[in-house]
Amino acid sequence: MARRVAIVAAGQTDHVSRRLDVNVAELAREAVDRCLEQAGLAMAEVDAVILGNMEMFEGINMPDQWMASTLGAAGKPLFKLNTGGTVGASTAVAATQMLAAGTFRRILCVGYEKHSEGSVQSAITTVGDPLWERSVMAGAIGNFASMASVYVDESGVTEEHAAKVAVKARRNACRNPHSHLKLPDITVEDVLASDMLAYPVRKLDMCPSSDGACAVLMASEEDATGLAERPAWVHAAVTAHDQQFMGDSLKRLAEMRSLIAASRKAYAQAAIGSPRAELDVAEIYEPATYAELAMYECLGLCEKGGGGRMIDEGVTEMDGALPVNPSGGVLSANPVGATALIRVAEAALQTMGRAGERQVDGVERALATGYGGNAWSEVLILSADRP
Amino acid sequence: MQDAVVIGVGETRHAPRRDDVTTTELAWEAVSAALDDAGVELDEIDNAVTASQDFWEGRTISSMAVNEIVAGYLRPEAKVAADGAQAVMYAWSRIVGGTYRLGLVVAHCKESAADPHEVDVAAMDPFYLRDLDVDEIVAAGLQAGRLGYPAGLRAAAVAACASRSPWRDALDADAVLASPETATPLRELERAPLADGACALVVADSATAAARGRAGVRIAGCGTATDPYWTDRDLTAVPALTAARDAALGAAGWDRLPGIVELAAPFAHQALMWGGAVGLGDLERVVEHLAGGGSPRGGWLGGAPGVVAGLSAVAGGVRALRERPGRALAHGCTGILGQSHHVVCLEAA
Amino acid sequence: MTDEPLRLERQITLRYRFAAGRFATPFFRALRSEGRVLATVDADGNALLPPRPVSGLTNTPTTGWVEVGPTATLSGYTVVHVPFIDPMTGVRRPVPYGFGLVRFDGASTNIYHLIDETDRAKLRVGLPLEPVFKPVEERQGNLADIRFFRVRDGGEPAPARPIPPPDASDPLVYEQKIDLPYVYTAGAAQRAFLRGLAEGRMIASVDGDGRRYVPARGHAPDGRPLPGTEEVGPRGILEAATVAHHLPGAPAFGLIRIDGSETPMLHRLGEGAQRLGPGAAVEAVFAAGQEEPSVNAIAHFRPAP
Repeated sequence: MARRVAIVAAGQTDHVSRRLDVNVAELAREAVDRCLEQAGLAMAEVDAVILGNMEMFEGINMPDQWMASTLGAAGKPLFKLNTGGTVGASTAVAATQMLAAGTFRRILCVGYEKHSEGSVQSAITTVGDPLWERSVMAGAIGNFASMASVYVDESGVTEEHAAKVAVKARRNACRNPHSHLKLPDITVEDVLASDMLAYPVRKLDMCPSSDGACAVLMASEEDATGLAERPAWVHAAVTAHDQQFMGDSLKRLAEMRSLIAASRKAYAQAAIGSPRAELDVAEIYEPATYAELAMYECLGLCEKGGGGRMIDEGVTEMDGALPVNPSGGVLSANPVGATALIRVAEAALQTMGRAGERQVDGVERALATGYGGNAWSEVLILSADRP
Repeated sequence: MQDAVVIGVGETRHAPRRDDVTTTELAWEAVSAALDDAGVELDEIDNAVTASQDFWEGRTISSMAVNEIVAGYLRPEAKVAADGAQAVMYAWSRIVGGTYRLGLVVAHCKESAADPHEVDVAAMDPFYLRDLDVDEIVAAGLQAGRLGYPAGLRAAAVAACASRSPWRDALDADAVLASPETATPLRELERAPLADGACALVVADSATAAARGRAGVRIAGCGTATDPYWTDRDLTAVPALTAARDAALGAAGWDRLPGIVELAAPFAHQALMWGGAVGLGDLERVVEHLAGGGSPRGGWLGGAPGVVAGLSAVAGGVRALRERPGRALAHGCTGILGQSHHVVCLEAA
Repeated sequence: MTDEPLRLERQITLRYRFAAGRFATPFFRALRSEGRVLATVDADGNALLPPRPVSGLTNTPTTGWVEVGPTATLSGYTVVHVPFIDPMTGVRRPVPYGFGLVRFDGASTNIYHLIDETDRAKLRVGLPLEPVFKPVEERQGNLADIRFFRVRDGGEPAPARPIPPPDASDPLVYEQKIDLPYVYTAGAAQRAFLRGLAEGRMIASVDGDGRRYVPARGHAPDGRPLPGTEEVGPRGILEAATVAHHLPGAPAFGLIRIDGSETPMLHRLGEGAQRLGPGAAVEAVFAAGQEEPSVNAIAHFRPAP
């Protein structure tokens, strides 16, 4: 019988636009130290490390090998995954699977990014297929905005709906000490007055690029209860990818195939019949405001076309029926290699009751999602109850 | 817990240059061969673990190129930036823990498509090494100098591996010794040739394998470990290999090395050193092993591309055990001068 | 010595030869020479563009080829106001510009491309389009051979037309050079070491037991933090030497243990140091006039008296 798996501790750096005091390895180590401190564990007691990051973003080939010692991973099993923006969640999914198998008992998942060290535009070039996707480019915003227009068209969401998501995120972020952007007084008018980057996406609709790292300690059941008072048990850890090319999906955002598929599988695994009613909090990977609204629909939290109404009715606000992104989300901090792991960490902290000022009351079940690569998705469901 | 069983193997004919195919098409050659070998349709695959390195591929998230050919549409694919033998360990865990039942493991690289010096330099420490413009050959020369193995034995190791390999012409030791000097004391032919190729396995849980009438070759255990960076460790020792070996043997419940041991080392002196470290004996014994049936494919020196070499070693072990049941140990490595080592134990009754 | 941030600006240039293989080769030949657009079909009749060996929708190999378009339909759109320097050409595209997801009529998938319209009110999902090609002599065999798509005035979109498998012999290979600029931010130990070198000094990191690590670094190989530094002599013991005949100029390099360091440092060997055996004493020769902190503040190591 496969072992049950839980998250027992999480640590993050304070995400900022530039960390000029430390190198990229030391940045990752900071998150590692904070995580282990929360767990009360030394690195010697960790069995394996799984690292997530995109090599060409910081310009170090095989960065896991280069930073093994700084991470405290030299001498240990070390894995390096690369699945784009989802990679942080991929590390947690991989850890879940290895712990379930009994391959290891305690795994540290680490995600990091130091955007200040790379050129975002050059890095985005390297994501595209060399033959098909590099000769005509408009950067990440052009690509994303093209998808968003389809969603706007189909759903009828307005720029005000999107602006409300931006306001929610940045105000929530004020209660998160790790957040990059904290805008306590931001209003819908501010968002609508911000520069239009690429229709319909305005500056305040977009996520920042951050320097930051996150580490999450996961353990199998023999150790989990000894390491945390209230472990966040993994009830589902599902990955879904897509076809090969960026334009393959006709409705990449409006009907994100991978997210629909992954979330349905995850709900089935976690025996969740009605996600909106049965989930207590969600940390979703929303690269922009419009994405969050579309993701409400793709996740089945509302009917198709219902994203706007969700935000209008305040369902996903901190005092709503299903708070989404109490941490401030990707809209408030985005160190890409860490971002999806931060969603997992935040969902875990909520479940463990350790989310500080941003804690939602009475969390029994939490959802975390990752997004990235070629509209790939990862969905994790955590619970205070052992499966 | 489930057993994980290899029921299909596919591999391209590794060659110095495959200008006729894209990465996708190259990997598909190996995947389709593995599926045919297993009697499995692509649509039956429920998960994939791929191995590739972005700097070699010239692409961030390089597994995007192979998602559709590994049944990645709406299904899970995960990429390890490491040698394919480590992908086997991840895939093995997924089956043993019951997460998945029938998966693919794929490693691919077109070394001819990149500039190896540029790829190597990019792996060098950006503060202390990058500005010196050194590559892995320089590092290997320094290591070989420290080890001091006789040139004749190093050359014999290369000749032995080439003689076993289905992808290289036979080579004699004299030809190796006569090849141009690279980073002293090394000669050009002491290093594995650059290659384009891919390798794939179909791995199933034992119930699935049995239902399909395939006994398969069981993955008995796996291990992986990482040493410090090359300038921070004793280059004459390789503790990560012994740690990975011990973890794999321990997981398999074996108390000794099997007769078939396929190591993937890019340099002759490493084949010798690691052969000793894994337990094959002194240098002469290692050369005998490389030349004999104990090394089915010739490892990396046999001509598989680096990222593929460990998976190729596993494939070689599987093929050998299909012909003659028993046990085999396969190995791959990742990082400059083999900083990380991955070991896979295979068993067929 | 200052402890201001230290950021090393470097560029990695990577050169690749991307083979176009059996699907992109005929596609780009047809596009370039004839302005025709091809796709592969799968068992369910999906026409996939770019063409490919396997359809992820059916998990089976594609079964044949069709010609699609060249008329197209707008699947998604935006007007971009953010200046973007095209990394492939270095050219900055004037803003605003139209961009979007375009589906050639008859195809089941889209490509991203430029749209010749900057008034957002005139763009909508479903808008009929047509490609405007570059003159034949300017085309390079990639999707930029189409300059942009513009609104099509009338004309019914044609369905996909089956064609015999195109000739894929003599496959194309595309060379690509990617320049990637980076700024490597030094940690405290690297700042101390590199600035020390610029002043002709060698800085070691030190642990609680007095063990030294040169070059300085924030953590020991086993992961222990190394918060302290101290200056050490620029002399050391040569552990290994090599002459790199495969590199231009056949430079010599050595691993040198500075003054009792636990770890060696790599650097060039000169003035006869390359002929020394392991165990010989060497010393650093500092270079004059380096503009910024880097390991090239040391010219090389030479035999020490």
